[in-house]
Amino acid sequence: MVRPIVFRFIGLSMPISTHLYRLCTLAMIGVIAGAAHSALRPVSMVPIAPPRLPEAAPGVAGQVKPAPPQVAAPLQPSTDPHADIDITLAQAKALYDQGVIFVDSRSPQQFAEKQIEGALNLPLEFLEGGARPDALNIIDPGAKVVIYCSGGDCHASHDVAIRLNALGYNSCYVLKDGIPAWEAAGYPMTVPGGGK
Amino acid sequence: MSNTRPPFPVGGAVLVARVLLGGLFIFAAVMKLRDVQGFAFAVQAFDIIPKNANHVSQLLAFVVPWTELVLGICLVLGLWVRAASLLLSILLLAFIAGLASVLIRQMNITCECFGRFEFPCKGQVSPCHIIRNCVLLAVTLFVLWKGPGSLAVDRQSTN
Repeated sequence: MVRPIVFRFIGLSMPISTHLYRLCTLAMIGVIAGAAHSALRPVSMVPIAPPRLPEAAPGVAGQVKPAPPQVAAPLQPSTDPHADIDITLAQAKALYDQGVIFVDSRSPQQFAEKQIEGALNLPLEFLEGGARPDALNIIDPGAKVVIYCSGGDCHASHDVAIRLNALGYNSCYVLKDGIPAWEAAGYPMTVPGGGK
Repeated sequence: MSNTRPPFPVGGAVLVARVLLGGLFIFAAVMKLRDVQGFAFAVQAFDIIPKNANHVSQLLAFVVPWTELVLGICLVLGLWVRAASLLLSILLLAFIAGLASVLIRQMNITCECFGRFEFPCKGQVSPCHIIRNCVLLAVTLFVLWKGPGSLAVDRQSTN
């Protein structure tokens, strides 16, 4: 039987149609399994777009007035994709003084060592499991939330903000400089065993 | 044409390539399925699918890892190896094209190729990710060329 030379080169002993049939079957299994999973546990594609906060006046706490809510804009690629939700230390302190809930996105071990006074611990892995974290029962979806981690290269706070946004918490802010800046400023901290 | 068995070193090399590739894609699929929401955002961040077609991004976030899982299992078992490796090659070409478009547009996003586990390329999408996928594509094409190799379910029949 004469076969195309390319088939002989790769040693195909079956008709190419058999391989194509198998390829289509494998692709269909992936699509059907994915579609079924998608139907059972759909994901949200809500972009992050909380209202912007104005810059707080240096040294004046409690005077931050939130800007009017803006229409949600799609997630735009940029050099700083989190620019819309990052807030400064002064802004964070102003929100803290207003009683806004702070969320610590670091690990429970790091949280146990020291934390911003009154903060809730909500690391990313708590949001990736099937169970609803206890912290979400405390936070009102319409309330402002300030999330922090260790500052610097730490991405946990932004990751948690994205997940919370997808869950309907649309006023999440990230204290970009994290707990080191808060601690260095001498703002309220809880250090178990070491006093506040 | 008869189904001639490859010599042992070649069959063994294909077996190693198959298991490594299959294992890697099973791992990648599991990592993505553990955090589908994160992968969905990653798909959206690539900005290849139009914003008004978010349902396609949502579906892709599930279909890609499930397809990877199915292909990975097929490769490890040596089942339908040529079809699986051909489909995997197409997937890898699509991944390479997507990564290249991100680099060309100078976007600052992460790959999420292995969920939160990044290996061997870390951080934002870079030429390293494309080179890694090209290496994987070369291994996949080797499997496609040589067939099931040793210890494969396909060896019970013809390839």
